[in-house]
Amino acid sequence: MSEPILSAVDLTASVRLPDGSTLPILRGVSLDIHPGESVAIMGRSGSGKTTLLSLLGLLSRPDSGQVMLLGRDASRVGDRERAGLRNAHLGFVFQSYSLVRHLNARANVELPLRYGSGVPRAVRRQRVQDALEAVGLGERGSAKPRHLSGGEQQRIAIARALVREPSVILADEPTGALDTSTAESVLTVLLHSARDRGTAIVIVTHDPAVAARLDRTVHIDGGELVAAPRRRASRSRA
Amino acid sequence: MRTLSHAFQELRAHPWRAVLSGLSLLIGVLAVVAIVTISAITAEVYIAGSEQAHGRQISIAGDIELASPDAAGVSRVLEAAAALRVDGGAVVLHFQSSESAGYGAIADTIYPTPLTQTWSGVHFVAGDVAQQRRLPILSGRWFVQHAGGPVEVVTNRAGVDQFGAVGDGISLAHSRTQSRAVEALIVGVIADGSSEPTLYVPAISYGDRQPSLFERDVRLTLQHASVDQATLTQAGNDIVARSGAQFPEGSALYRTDDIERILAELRTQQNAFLITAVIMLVVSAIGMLNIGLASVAERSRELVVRRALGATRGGILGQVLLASVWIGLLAVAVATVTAVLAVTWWVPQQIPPESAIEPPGVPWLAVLWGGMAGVGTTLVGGGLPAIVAARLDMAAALRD
Repeated sequence: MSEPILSAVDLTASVRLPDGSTLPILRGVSLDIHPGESVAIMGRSGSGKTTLLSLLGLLSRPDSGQVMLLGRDASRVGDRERAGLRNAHLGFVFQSYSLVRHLNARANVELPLRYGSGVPRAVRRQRVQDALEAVGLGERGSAKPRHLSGGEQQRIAIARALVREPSVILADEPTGALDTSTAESVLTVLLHSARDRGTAIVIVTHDPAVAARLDRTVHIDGGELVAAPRRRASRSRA
Repeated sequence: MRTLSHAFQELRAHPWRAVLSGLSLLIGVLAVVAIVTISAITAEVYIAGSEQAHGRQISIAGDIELASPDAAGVSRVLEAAAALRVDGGAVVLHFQSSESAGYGAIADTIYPTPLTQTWSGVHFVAGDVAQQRRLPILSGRWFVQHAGGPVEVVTNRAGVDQFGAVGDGISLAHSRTQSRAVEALIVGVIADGSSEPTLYVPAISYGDRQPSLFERDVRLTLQHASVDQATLTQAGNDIVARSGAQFPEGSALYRTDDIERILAELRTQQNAFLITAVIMLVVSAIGMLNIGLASVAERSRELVVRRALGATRGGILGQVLLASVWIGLLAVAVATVTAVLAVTWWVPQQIPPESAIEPPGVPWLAVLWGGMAGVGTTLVGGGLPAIVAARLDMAAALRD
């Protein structure tokens, strides 16, 4: 088996309550994400799955433990370096699309390239166009988010996550706001696009049907992984 | 450069927010410039009136007795004051003839008796009248003292109906015993702040033609802007002594201008203006702060998504702050143009021509202060929202 590209090593996290006490959210969670695999994180509301995703995405810092990205501990580096790591190696897809309202689809997809350094404008344009075409919206680059349907907006968000060709895409309920048929097609686009590029995917979901299309599923309950990571054989379900 | 570009995009994306923030700041900066300008003009109005009537700062005056009651006696005083005049000071001698004759039309010059008009309002002067007092010329020019031709004289606005306008001839006689009246030509109309008709006649030119004008008693006035009263008084005493003149018993030089008193009285008013300007800026800053914080709250999700995509904390801070600074610079530029136009075009039109008020120059210092205050207001009004934006919890991007 290849080396994990992203790992959670004995992660703990908590929140401080108004009365000054702390509430544990994650208790010693360890998880490996390997190149090209797709992993579902399932659990009840409040179980800690979104917190785990934000730690894996370097959006927050653990109380203890490590987040290893490409073999180095990324949980302790400074803000600028974390921003660089997120930009270069991680892609995000959010439940509510989270497109920038005043930017058109093309500019939204271009954002990660603009925050990255050293990508010439012509190359940026080409990569944006490629990403839009990969999600089937090559002709909608000029449209503002308000002129796009929910499914189209989420596909734009997927194109934005893919455009930097990250090592891992982290998605939080990416189909949660979509109807069944649109969710199906959006998930297909996400999985196809990621697998075409060899990109690993971690999806937080409540939906067993979504989890069923991924390589493996981990369950989290009360801040702990309750089932050992189990690798699915098939990677052709998408 | 990238942050600058994002900041500019932000302004284009939210034009009304930018316009409202800009207006808030524009009002604040314009208020500073306007208040400072109004304060300066108010001071100028009082000072101009005082300098017109009583002389510029520092003026001292006293009655003296000339060494000889003739043009030579006058010239000796002026020569004794040469150093003071070269140094930027002014010396004026004012004659008050004890005799009384009159003036009339040029035709009366040949047959002057009797010149039926009254003599009051005719002032014989020598020296630097236009320098010692603020006496703007409304038309024509100041008289030039010379030996040949008619005596050149100037009158005030109230004197035009009585003595004539620029180009009119007039005959003058200061004594009923003189054989001929003196032919004079009005060459200018000045604003001396008096509503009484007044004619200013150069004493030496007139005295060349009618030496009997001169009497021993004259009034001496000295003015210098950059020496203190004691030094000027000492200089005046020296001038009197060197010219061979003397003070009559009980007479001495005393202060005649009241600029210091006016400035002291205006200080309270100017402080009130300053406080008002500061309050306007604080109100502007609060307005910007309000708009900025509301904007950050509204866009918090967008901002954390940007961070998730690779923007640094500093990048977000810079983006929000630079957007405010763009607005601030634009507001300062518009305020500067407005202030320059107002001061160079509008304000001069509001000043009555007969007043001695000099149209104010562009208050560059006020503009500079206003601009700096505007940028400062921008940094305060945009800084806090920028800090709040940079400290947003990124994990919130994953939660709705």
